[in-house]
Amino acid sequence: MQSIVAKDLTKQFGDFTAVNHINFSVEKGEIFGFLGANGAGKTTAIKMMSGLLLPTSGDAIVGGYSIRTDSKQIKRHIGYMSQRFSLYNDLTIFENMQLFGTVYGIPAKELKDRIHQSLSKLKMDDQANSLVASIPLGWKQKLAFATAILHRPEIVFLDEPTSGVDPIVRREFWKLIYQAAASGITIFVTTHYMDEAEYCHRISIMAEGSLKLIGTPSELKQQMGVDTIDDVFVKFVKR
Amino acid sequence: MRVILMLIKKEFLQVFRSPLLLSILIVAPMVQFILFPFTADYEIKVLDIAFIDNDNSTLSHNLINEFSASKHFRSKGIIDSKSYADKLMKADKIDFLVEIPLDFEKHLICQDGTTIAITANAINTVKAGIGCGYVQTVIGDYLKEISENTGLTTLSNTAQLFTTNIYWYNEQMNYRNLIVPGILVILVTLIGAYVTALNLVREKEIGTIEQINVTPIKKWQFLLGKMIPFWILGMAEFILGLILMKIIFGINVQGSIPALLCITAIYLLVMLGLGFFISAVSENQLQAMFIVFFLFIVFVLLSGLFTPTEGMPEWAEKINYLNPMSFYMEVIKKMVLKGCQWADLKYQTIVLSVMAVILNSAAMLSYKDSSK
Amino acid sequence: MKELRMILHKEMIHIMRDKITLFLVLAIPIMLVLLFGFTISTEIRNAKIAIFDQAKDSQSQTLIDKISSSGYFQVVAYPETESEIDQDFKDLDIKLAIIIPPNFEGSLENEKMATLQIIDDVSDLNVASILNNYILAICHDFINEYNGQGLEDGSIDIVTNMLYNPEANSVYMFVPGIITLIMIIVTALMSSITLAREKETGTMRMLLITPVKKVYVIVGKVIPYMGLSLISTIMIIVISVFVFKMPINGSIALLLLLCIIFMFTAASFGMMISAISKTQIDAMMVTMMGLFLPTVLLSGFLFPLDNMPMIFQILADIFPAKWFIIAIKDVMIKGSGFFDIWKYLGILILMAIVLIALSLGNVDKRK
Repeated sequence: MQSIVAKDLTKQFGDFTAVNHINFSVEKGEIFGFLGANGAGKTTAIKMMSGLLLPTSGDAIVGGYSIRTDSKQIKRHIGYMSQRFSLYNDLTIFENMQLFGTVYGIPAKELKDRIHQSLSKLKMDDQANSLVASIPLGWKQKLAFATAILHRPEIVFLDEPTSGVDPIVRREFWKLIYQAAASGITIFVTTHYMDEAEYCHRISIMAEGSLKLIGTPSELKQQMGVDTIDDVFVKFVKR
Repeated sequence: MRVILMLIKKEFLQVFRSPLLLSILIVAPMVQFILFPFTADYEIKVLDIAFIDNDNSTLSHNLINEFSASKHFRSKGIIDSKSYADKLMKADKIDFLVEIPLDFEKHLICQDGTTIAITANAINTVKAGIGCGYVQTVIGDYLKEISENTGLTTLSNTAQLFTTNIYWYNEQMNYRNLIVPGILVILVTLIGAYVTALNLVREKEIGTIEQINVTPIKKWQFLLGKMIPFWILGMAEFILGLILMKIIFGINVQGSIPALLCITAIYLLVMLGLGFFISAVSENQLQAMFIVFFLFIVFVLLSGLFTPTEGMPEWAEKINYLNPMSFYMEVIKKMVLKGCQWADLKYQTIVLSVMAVILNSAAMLSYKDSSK
Repeated sequence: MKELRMILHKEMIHIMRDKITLFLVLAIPIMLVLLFGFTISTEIRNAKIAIFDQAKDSQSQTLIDKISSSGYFQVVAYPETESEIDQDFKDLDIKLAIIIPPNFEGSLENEKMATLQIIDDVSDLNVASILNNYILAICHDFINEYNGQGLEDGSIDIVTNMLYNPEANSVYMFVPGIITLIMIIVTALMSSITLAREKETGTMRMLLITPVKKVYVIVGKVIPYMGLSLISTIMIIVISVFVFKMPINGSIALLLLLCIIFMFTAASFGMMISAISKTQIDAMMVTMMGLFLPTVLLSGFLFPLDNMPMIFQILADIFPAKWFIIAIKDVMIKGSGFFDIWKYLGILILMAIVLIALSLGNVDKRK
């Protein structure tokens, strides 16, 4: 079953084409990596798929709904974590999760249970009542992810979730992603860390608004005749 | 419903956790109540006056005494030269100069007319204008006196017209009684428009609004969730203001308090709508602040709190029909000082309600939860 | 110095990119001056009044005609009872009511005197006293005409000379105040807010990681806004001279020097505020409450300082606005020279130095 199908998805800002006719599909439960340098159009693509931006032309079917006509429905079925940290700094961890959980219509009692479950998974039980502003960045990111999947979405979009985080926390973060994927959530993640790309089931490389390469990490390495994704990228850019 | 309650809770939590915002909500009214009534006083009480007496006669001395005895003038003495007077004027030591001509007494007794020259420092036109009125009163009183005392016949043969003044709605003639209710208007406006506009733009700027927009939350839910808390805060602020007004200045509301609260509630909706509309169209807090600030000054200026609206050109009066603050200021003046009732204020209530509907719909329409 | 230039360059790009803000910063001062200039007038025309004529004789009619043809008043109601007068105040917004006593003509004829009752709506004191003066003048004319005598006989003619402002133009009062407010808003408020914005959005951290000295980061932020506020100030002065015919009696160079010095003082306030505030709302509130409000109330520009209790007069001395307004009025209107105002310049410079020293001390601590 396919979670996301993009068909000729295009976004123009004035004369500038940020995303240029991209086509791809993502299977349910898959971890799909979206690679590219800064400004390649990753964030624009992710914003279109999560219903924050309307495409100029083309369409994408996300969780069975068209982003052109059913963006309201899509919002119920996805989770989103943006590049910028966007939980409320002046609310506590619990209050943030409660706010977003309620917004997605999780019944009060169940919400409480889910919050406690996910906090204990993160080993942050004892911090439920600390202000978000007071916890370190890496933990905030994990927390933002936990909040984004609190309502058990079909698909979660992660826009550079690990930027600025140290390698150890990054590895922990990817563990969380694997757990989520194992439970059937489709993960759509953008990154510019090439080592992270190795963790994905499939990756695509984007440049100047177009999708240049797509395949599993090993396929791409074979295709380019190199050993790491990093080299794939370097070789690709040189070409 | 649960969603809105949650959003309201979130907003209150944020307000009460922000020491600054909280102190603004509580300290600002206090400061204004202490500062404004003592400083925002237009009333021209005492004017400094000096004299050049070229006549040096009994009658000229009498005139000088008459000025010095007036409660409106404070004598800075008799000076010799015009150039010294200029110096005093330039240094802001005197506001008025009275020059009594040579043979003042002689002409007065012969009744063939004499002229007194008054020089006013007119940079402050209010001061100069009111002062000239006082000068006329003093000279009029003086004439009356000399005609009675000296038996000069001129005035006793002719009819006289006196005026007595009765002061309504502010018997103590206290400027505070006007300015204090004005502060209420400013407070409600600031909370309604300023705080809310900045609050929403701030979410835009830090990016939290994106997280909200990607959720299935509906536009109206989000806006209501923002509006209700600030509406409650505004009302609380207004009631606090009324209490302070009573305790500190002993000003009682003469009209109906429920009606006053009702109209205030509507006015707050107008201001909240305005605040949200501005935040929806501006990109950052700086822009929002500038727009609100500009509108605020224009509103205050045209509302007649600090400057009379009667002297304004017609186009300005027309603009005033778009100024919610001037309607509300009228309501406050009439309710607090004149003791009007609900029925006297139907018009203002209707206008404010229409404004509330228009501005809030504009805010709804211009707030985007996804962009093109 | 190269570092400073780099920061300046970056800030200029910010300002030029944000066209809306740039437009607001430059357009708002102009709109304010025009609005103040055209709307604020201390002369009142066509004030609504009611006349309760208890006499209804030919003299009372003459008086009424005189009042309504004066241009100052517009008679909108002729109430018949005192309670009607009250209603007129509430419904028709009349500012004043006159009660002409019964047998007005007879009293003037026989008793040689009559008394008018004037009811003032003193919910606005100044309007009330201005209108009272108008009424007194009209009564004065009326009785002179009634007596059939010229003004001269036995009475005193008053010649009034409006010094410095012969046409009693209120713009003279407001322009110096508006310049002050604009300088404070553009220089102090804008620079402190943009500094707070960098803190809020985290870009400040990026800047501080670079080897650029913190002082440069702050100074580089403040200077462009000083430039902007100087442009606004010059525009305000140009408008007030050409549109509102305000004179510049002193030297233009001295006026500019004065404005530049005050700009430094305002900028040093901005630095001080940005040193103590973390978010834009903080910066704005501190500026509004701590600087803007005292400037409006305690600078003597709207409200005369000598009415205030001692403590507020002392407070007024601490804020720079009062000194700047005195000095700018002296230069523009009275034509004072450098030696007349050097004291004020000195005070402003001193304030700037103290504030800069304080805020730099604060900056170093944050290292």
